[in-house]
Amino acid sequence: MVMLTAQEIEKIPDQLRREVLKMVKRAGAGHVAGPLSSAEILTQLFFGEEVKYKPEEPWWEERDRVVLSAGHYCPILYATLARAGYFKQEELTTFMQLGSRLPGHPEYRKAPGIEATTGSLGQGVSVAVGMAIALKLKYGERARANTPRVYCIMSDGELQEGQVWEAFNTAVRRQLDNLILILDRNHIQIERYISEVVQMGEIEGRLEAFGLNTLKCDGNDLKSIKKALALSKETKGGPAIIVAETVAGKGVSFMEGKPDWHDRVPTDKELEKALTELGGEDGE
Amino acid sequence: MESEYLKPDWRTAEKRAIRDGLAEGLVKIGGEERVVVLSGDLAGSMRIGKFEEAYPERFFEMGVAEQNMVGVAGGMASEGLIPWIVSYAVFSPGRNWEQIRVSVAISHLNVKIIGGHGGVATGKNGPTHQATEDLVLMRVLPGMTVLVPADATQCEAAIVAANQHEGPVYIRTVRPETPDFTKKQEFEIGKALVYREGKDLTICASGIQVWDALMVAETMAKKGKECEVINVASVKPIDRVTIEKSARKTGKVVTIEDHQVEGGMGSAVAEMLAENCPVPVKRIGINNEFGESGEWREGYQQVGLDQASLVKKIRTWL
Repeated sequence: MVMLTAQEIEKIPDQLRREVLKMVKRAGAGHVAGPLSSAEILTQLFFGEEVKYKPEEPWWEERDRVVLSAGHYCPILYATLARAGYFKQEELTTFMQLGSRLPGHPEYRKAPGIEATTGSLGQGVSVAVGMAIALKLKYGERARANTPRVYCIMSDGELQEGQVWEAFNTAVRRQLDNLILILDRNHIQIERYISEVVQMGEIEGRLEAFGLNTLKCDGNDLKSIKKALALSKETKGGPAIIVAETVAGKGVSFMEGKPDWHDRVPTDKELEKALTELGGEDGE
Repeated sequence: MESEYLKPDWRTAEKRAIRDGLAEGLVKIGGEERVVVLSGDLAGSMRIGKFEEAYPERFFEMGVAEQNMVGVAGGMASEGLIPWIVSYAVFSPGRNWEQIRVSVAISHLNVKIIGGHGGVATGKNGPTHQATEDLVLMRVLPGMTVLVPADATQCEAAIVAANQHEGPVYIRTVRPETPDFTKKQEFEIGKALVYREGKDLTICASGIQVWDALMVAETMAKKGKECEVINVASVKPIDRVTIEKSARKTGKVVTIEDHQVEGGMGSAVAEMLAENCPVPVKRIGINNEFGESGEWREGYQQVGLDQASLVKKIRTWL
């Protein structure tokens, strides 16, 4: 695990955002808004001493598992794993190229740290539930200090997939208190605002009704995420879900809150402007 | 001479449902701690209660949620378990095909899929429950192994073999009680077995059609045609050596299965022969139609899978 000061950690989200934009630009494809909205979530998980991991031993038995159910967010996960030391920063330049370990959507163990094949929305949640059940089987039903946790990052658009709710049912029925779901509530999907497509209403109410211990946080604020994660870890007898309220395309003025940037590649000019807003090409 | 693979009384062998072989197979492999069984609310119908009794802590009732069941199995497999998911084939792999593709096949995870109630033989529950497309759905997935046991005894052996195989496996079972006619033997994935030798025609059959094919061959023999009967229980990988050798000898191949002729075992045989040993092939199965609700033997007469229809179809083709 990388040990950093609070000051250093605060700079990481924008650094990761810059990597994401460069990766997407180089590849000429990829997703932008979700990876940018979730930068603080990934930062807090990997650099805020939340997730147990050993980059030099990526499949260490006792590691916590991180499943990216919103598979299209993968540029931010790749950038995070590189920053955490799983592989070299230079490898990010291979994103989406033939033969790369960093394909357009994550593939199971293709690169160190990638726990599941995702990209077809809804499926990663079930996979995470399966892992959490298996770990309980292995380490014993009662939560022990060394029972690995499974963290699953979802998008709010993903809630339109019925499979997600099937998975919630199983997670609650199996009392998976080693499962922590984090919902990136950025309000957009590919073509429009989610509210134009479905009436989600109060998402929290729905989640609670399914039996999930539902917590809320400002998903673009490290301290707020940290607090919610601390509470989620205390959940006994069942899974927790953190509804992390975020801004799509966070950090770049002309991308923020715009469905158009779900998967758009920035022009040279846009990239330059975005990188400047995020602290400059080599900025801190 | 009678085949060494068949019981001496194979013609009048006691009837058992293939799904009964499933339960016995699962209990047999259940001694291995990595084995877990996930049921899609059909444990009773699929007769896997014996596994639940023997290993309750490794039996998971997943409810009526086949898509989630596959994903959970994928997650379990990535943690080193060997999950067996059990449902009807119309739902798994029918309803959850894309979950199998993404959460299992692309990752080549060690998940075993049991699709019950294959074919029109399912009978009274009608076309919603009669899986006649499951083999083609599974055949097209890269890295998937596809097995269709011919009776309960072979089903049990197929389960043991699938459990030892590293990677995803699909096994089809059927509903009715049919002759349990084969001798207990090890199941070899990728191997087809010649149950009867003949020089005039090769009949490739799978599932409960294998016993029918043997009976048909006896009728054909009385009419002067010696049929070679091959049990193609391993649809993928297919046994090119055995089938090609027979096709070269007889020069004509008929395939019989309770599945759409497009994409099933017959297609697998025809495709392989077209590339390696082109001979005339007649595929008998379900022809671009759905079955109907009704007693399964009557359903077979309607779609032409009863022995009399088979003999007639083969003779007409010859």
